[in-house]
Amino acid sequence: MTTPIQPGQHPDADQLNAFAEHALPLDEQQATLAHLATCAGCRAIVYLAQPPAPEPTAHPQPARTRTPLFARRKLSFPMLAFPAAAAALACLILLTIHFRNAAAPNQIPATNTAHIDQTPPPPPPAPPTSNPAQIATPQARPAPSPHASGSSLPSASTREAPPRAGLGLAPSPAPAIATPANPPLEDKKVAPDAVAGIGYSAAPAAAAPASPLIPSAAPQLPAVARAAARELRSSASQYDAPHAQAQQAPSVATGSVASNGKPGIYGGTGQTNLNENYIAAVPLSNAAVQTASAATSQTVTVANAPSTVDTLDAATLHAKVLPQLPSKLPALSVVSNARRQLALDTAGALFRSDDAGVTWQPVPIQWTGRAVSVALLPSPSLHFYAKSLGGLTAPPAAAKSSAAPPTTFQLTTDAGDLWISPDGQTWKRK
Amino acid sequence: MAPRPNPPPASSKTVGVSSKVVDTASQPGELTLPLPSAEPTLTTPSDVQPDLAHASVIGLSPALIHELWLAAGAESLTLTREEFASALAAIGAKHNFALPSDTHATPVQQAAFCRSLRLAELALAQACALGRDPAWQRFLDQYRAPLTQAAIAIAGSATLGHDLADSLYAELFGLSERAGRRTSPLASYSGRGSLLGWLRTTLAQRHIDHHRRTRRETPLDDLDAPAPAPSTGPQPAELAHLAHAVSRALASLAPGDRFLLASYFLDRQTLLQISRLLHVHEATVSRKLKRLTSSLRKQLLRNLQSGGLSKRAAEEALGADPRDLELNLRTLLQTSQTPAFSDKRCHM
Repeated sequence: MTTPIQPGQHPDADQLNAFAEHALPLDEQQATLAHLATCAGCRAIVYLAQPPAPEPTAHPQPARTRTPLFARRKLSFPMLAFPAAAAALACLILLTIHFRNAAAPNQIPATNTAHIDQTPPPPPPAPPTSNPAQIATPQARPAPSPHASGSSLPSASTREAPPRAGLGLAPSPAPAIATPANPPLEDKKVAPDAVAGIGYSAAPAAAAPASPLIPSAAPQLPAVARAAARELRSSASQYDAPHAQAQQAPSVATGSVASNGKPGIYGGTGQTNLNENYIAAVPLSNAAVQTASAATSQTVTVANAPSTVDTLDAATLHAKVLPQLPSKLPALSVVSNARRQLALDTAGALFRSDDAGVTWQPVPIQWTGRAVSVALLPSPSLHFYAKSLGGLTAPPAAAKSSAAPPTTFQLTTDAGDLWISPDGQTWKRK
Repeated sequence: MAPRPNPPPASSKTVGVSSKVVDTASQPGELTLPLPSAEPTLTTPSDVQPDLAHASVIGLSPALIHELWLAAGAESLTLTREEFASALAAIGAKHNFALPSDTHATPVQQAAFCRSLRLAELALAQACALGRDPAWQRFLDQYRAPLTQAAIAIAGSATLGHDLADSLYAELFGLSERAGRRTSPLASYSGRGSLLGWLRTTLAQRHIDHHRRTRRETPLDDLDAPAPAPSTGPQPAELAHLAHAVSRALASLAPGDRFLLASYFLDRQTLLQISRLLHVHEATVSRKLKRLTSSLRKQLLRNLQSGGLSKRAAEEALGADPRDLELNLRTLLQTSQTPAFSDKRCHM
């Protein structure tokens, strides 16, 4: 614009439009601005002529990020977050307990549920015992026999004062002699605080509840025991049902009394401090060792020897018998003689205990392959069967003599090789 | 749609730019067109020669005119080179080729100015002003819908918008006559801005004119004029000092600052609208306003203190109720005695 806008004059539409579009020279722009600053009408025209403000460009929707489902639900239902978490935790705990029980049923806490039937046994078919003093009675609790002194025999004295070196078989607080009419074997339970003795129960003989017989006070017991043993031995093949055996066993003799005046393997020598793995023995056959991985009880057949038979409930048995190994794995096989205890865990590691399972020391692997079972060498006179989680235990070889406890251990590998060890520490191929 | 006029006779072509320039009766930039006659005449080279000679006089070479004519696509609008050269010469002479008034434009500056114009839109506007059918056809194709939308946006109503647009169409077509000649506002389009912007501005002008007229027709019953305030005694000295200080402070403001204050506080325009008009960001306008008010307050304090008030008294005076002041800020800001919209004749 060549001439400034005079007062009273107004820029035309072309100039206002050029001003709004910044198409004016600088001097003309300033002149127009000065006029607009003082002219409300021209300002109104300029503002009215402005094109509508461009709508904000629609920003593209950002790609939906995948958020965790729980996060979205948490936002949607915040009040359900805590109950859901609690329910999930409870389910987790239940599942954990379930699987732990399924994996290690032996870890069920033992209770003193062992009970011994107080029902007097039926009259034994066997002839009267020749040594009535060997029959222990609850009323008469004389001093333990010399054979049982210092040993872990399951005598009444030891039961009353368990040395805690035993293997878990504890006498019932109210010891009594079980009768054949007692409940089945599964119902028999052995007190957890077993005496340091045999800790041993035999079914059906064990099913015939064991009573803490005192040798001097139970003169009839050896005969009863012998009769029961004979019965058991004669019908060993029929003892698949421990229940039936329990029905047939006339009585159960405690191991503190040896037959024929000899100390029994369970205490006659005072060294039959067997593990309670040997409770609930059921003589399935004459075979020395049999494996039954799913077995829930252990079978012991007592023959030609006074035996202390006790019954254990399976759960209690597992809970009390299976030791807690340093490997924290369940024991696959446990075997013990009078002085030493060997345990094989599921990983094939062998452990040795010289203090009745209180402490365990690993045994160096000296065999080839994986150990699957450990047992005591079978004794011809004593068939000792143990069946615990597939573990096999063999009766001590010297059990019958009762003078020398079985000390030879036998280890079986997955290849079928047999390894023997006299002390459980050094092993040699058999 | 009003009937389109026939092309003007060739004899009127000689009126061209020279008549527009010398015609003091018409508004600046308006092209006076002869009334349509029943016998259209054809443009002859002898008729064109004077325009080209006039263009040559002001420095536009025929080669430049031809180049610009081709660039504008004026041929398709049946706008001859002579007509286009005449329009260019008139625009250049009006605006002195965007140079100060005391500066003579060189041919290069003239060529630069002409090339900076929106030649296509200028040719279309000139052709429409001359009443060429192809030009009007293109104009309607390109600007009918935007113009209607702009009219609706300005009027704030579809009905008023359509009425406003239709009235502008009639005016653009040149139905109004002056001294026996049709006049079209399109001839005042210089091509410095966009044709659509020019149309919008024209629409805004017409809308404000219409508003002025209709407001004056408001019934008296609707006017609830407040009773005159009871005359009070003489103003306290502090208020007199304050009014004087405000007047001095506002008078010392730069035009841009006054425009900002007037737009924001008087016109109540938003920051966005101001920023779009000034081609700056909203934040810039906001900062400027904040800085401006702050500096204005300081200037007021200085003015009050220079008027004999202490600093404390000056601050207390600033805290006076504005209703106690007999100040017309609008008048102070808008020092120009702007006549009513209806009385304005300088537009177009």
